[in-house]
Amino acid sequence: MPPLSWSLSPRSAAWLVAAIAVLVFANSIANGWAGDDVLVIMDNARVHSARAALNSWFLSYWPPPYDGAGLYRPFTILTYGIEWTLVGGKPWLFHLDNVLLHAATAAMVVAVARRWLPMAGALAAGVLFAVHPVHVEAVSNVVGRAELFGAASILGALLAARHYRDTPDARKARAWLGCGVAVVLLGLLSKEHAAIAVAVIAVDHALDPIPARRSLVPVYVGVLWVTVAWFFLWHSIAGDYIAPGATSAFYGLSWGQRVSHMMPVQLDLLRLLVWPMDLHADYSPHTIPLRPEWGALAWLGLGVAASLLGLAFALVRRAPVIAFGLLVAAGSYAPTSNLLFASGVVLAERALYLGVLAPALAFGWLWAHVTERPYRRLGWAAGGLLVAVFAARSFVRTPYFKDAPSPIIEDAADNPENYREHLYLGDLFGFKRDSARALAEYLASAALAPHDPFVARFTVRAAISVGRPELAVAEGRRVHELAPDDPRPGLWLAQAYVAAGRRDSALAVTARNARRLPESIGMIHNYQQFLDLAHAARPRTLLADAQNDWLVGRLVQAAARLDSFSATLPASARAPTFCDDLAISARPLRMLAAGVLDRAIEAARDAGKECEGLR
Amino acid sequence: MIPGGVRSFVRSAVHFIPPSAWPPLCGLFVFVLSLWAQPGALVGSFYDDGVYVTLAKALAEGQGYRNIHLPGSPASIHYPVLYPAALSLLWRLWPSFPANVVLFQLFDAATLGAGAWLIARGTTRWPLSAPARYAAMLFGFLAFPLLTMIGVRFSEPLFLVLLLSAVAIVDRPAVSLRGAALAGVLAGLAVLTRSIGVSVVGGIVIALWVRGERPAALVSLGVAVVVAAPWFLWVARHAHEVDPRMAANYGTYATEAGQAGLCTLIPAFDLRNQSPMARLAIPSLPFGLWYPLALLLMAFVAWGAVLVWQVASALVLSLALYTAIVGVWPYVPDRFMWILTPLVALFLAAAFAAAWRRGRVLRGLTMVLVVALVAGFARRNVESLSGRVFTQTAEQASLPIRWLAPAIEHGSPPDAVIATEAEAGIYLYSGRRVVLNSPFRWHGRDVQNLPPDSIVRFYCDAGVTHIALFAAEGGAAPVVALLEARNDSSVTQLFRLANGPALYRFRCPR
Repeated sequence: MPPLSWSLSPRSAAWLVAAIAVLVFANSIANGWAGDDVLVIMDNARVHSARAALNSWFLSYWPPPYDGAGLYRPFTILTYGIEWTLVGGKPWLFHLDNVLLHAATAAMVVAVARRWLPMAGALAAGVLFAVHPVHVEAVSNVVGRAELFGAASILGALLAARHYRDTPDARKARAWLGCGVAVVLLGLLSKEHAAIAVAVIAVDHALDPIPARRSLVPVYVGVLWVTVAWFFLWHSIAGDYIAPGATSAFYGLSWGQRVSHMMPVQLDLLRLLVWPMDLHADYSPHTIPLRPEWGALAWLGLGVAASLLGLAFALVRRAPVIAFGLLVAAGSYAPTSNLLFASGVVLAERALYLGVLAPALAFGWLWAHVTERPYRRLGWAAGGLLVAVFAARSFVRTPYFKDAPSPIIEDAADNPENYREHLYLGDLFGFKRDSARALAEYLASAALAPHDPFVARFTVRAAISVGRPELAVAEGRRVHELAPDDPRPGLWLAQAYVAAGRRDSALAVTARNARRLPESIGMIHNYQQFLDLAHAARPRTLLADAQNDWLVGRLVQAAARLDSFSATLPASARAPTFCDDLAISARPLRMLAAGVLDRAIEAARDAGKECEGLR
Repeated sequence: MIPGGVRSFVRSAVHFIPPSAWPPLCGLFVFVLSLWAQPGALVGSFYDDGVYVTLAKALAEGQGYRNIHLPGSPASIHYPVLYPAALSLLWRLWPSFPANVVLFQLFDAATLGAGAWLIARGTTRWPLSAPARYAAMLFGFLAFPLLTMIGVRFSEPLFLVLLLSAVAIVDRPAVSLRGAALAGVLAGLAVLTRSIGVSVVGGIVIALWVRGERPAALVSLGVAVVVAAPWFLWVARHAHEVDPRMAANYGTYATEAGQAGLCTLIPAFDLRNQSPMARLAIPSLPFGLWYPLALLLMAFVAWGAVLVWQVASALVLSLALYTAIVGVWPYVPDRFMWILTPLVALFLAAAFAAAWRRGRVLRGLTMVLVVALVAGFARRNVESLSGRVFTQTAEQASLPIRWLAPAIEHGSPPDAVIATEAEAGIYLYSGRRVVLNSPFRWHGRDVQNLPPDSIVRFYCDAGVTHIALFAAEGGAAPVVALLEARNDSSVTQLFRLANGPALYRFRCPR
């Protein structure tokens, strides 16, 4: 029996794969906004017109107050802006575009695989890539667009590089060179993962069985040039800071502990690529339990990861297509692996989008291998069944992202051990003004993740709103000890004290924090806020305000306030907190008003106090 | 000795990359190096960089080519227009200062990278082996003064690209009239980037003329004049707009020359003062040792230029004219020479290579110079690179702006006029109009501050409301001291930091 694909041209095979991708994910067009879609698109004015999106070109991906998340994806934002302009914010076009982009990427997989595989194998690889259930999160949730663009740009650049080195025509070669570099640039402006494009092109080049007609160095130089420029821009705009909230699953863990936690995750990763039937939107603890110590699972995870890498190198000559898939999967996973640096999540299915190349190309290789064997019918049947199961799972999974509450409710029911799911559920109850149940969910979350101080943002607020201030104080105290250098837990504790009617305690805790970290604007703001609330004496307020002015560069105002403070001497020196108040504002006193500082220290001495270490 | 295995590895690695790929790789390396070299300094710390960015802002916002930071926004007639125009395009893309400085940094790094690419491509016919060429370029581009310079917004990288593009056309074996015209355009653009670009026009025209390609020389000259002429017309038309008391900074170069006195422009020859390259390269030695070494170094550089004359006459002539102009102009010449460091390193390498083949004496002199370079240039450079010391000049110079600009922004009304140093930087970060707090005029190679009374009159005429001091002494400190002594509340201290910077309210004394 002849193989199915004998009658297919490469172009037809690509179209066929694209059509399968569209069919399998067509039901996502009925989805609405879910997950991060709400913050990034629905409620984000920056994407509500193409012009607004263009004006936001140099702003970070997330809108305020989440803009410290370290992401910069202006091209993705621009596509949202254009779509919003075209259909007035209806989600169907966003979903349709995601499906089409996924279809185009799957078609490119056929073209990529064709270099090493016969048409039947390339087609099989493309089909498996098209229907793989891990893609549901990237394709059926609009914000998965970034993953799709990133992967499409990497494969597009790879194909352009192949054309560049294959074509005999120098002018066409230059056009392909420009095209490849431009595609990488768009990819970089869509998703950070496109930074691996140069490595993917190099791996493809190294494994290519066809000798190149020309040196690929101009491609490498061009791609590296835009990658370096993008990195510089990205780092300047969004790369300085990853919000602690985004990495709170790893809060307080050292690099070694993070790595030991991530090693067992390699097993989940492998499972998701090979048999992705059990899918989750969030793998925070304890969907994947927190394991900061090296145990048997960590060693097993390390062994599996090392074996797969070893396999990739071992197969470079015998099965380069598998080697290519494994190496690209490893490269595409590396940025979010948490092994090099803490990314925002423990594991995300959307981040495996390009990683699916590994099982897809291996499947294509197997298909091609089986085709030449007597048991090919059995092989085709098994392969066909696998594809059908995957397609069915994807189709069934897609409505999971139909609206914002559905994934939260479903995941919370399926994964009661996941602390973040309880936070989301608490938010949902809070949105419905059911504060008591919101509090219960937040407390459940805090009990599951006592290491994450940022859960208290929710527990404290909810406890206050249901009239349980002592619970709020207990929570506030607990997390303030966990993150003493972060102004936020200090603020939550102070708010809890105020709710409990203990304004002095609130002021004392903020004053202590301000004294410990006087250069922290957050700590000083907290302190000022509670000085006002406690109707504190004017000299204290003047010193705190002077410190705040100093920190934000209002030196004229700071000098004037210190002048006014000077007029309160020596009477103000009798206050019991006088030396501590001076310590908070020691820097502006030293730099702007050394004479006032001297007088204050003298006045304190006259009042029987020794303010040490201030000069 | 390099072990054979290492040598063969290097050779095979080098052969893996085709020769045509080395220039773009070299450009990429310099691009990355330039980005790495960016300091955490503010714009305006080197004065001219602030003015360039202010002019870019003026162009981007449709305010014309004017010094919008000065009261009355007089036309800009001192700084040629091309570099600010290029920055203004980036400003229009991202009109949010200072966040958009990152685009300017990328532009400067990319132009310097392009410059490295052009140098690598344009020197293939020089009498130097490829490893020697790239080694010399590496030393040149790693020179710490060049790294300091690329960290601030100067027009030098763009100028270098235009210079190299123009001479690359002319230094080809045969130049068509179209090529000559293109070279003229590029040379004209070099003039529009830096006034000293006239050296490029001179270089390419003389080179063509000397080679007997006189029609091409005339075409290049004519086109360059046409390209640059609008700038000179603009200067002539708007020269009167600049207050003569600020002419040393904002007036025409003719005004500067007039102030300095043409006769005093030719200084007493002192290599130690006049040769930044020698000071960079030769270690600190007693005068009797240093001077001959510096002369020897200069002789080798000049000999290197002579050696490449046959294949790079336009480049050699352009650089000779450039150096001559820099040498006689009243400014301290250092800054203007650093951009040439890679080319000077290449001349030197060409001379070393030739000397090595010509007998013991020259070989011995080469060894002496190499030892001097290792003890001088290499030691200084290692020290600077290892701790990123080359960024500290700009970062230190930024500190007063860092203190004063937010204080002025929050502590003065929007219509305030601030008398300050680094006035463009203060304007950019505070949004307030500014004037020089210590106007001066050239007197030979020195500067002469205006008398304090004249400065006070200047403040009154300019509508100054505040005086900013960068340090406790120098600048306008004597003027402030004079006013404080009058006890007529013409100045009131708003703050003074323990390390010097201060802000005063100023009222014109009656």
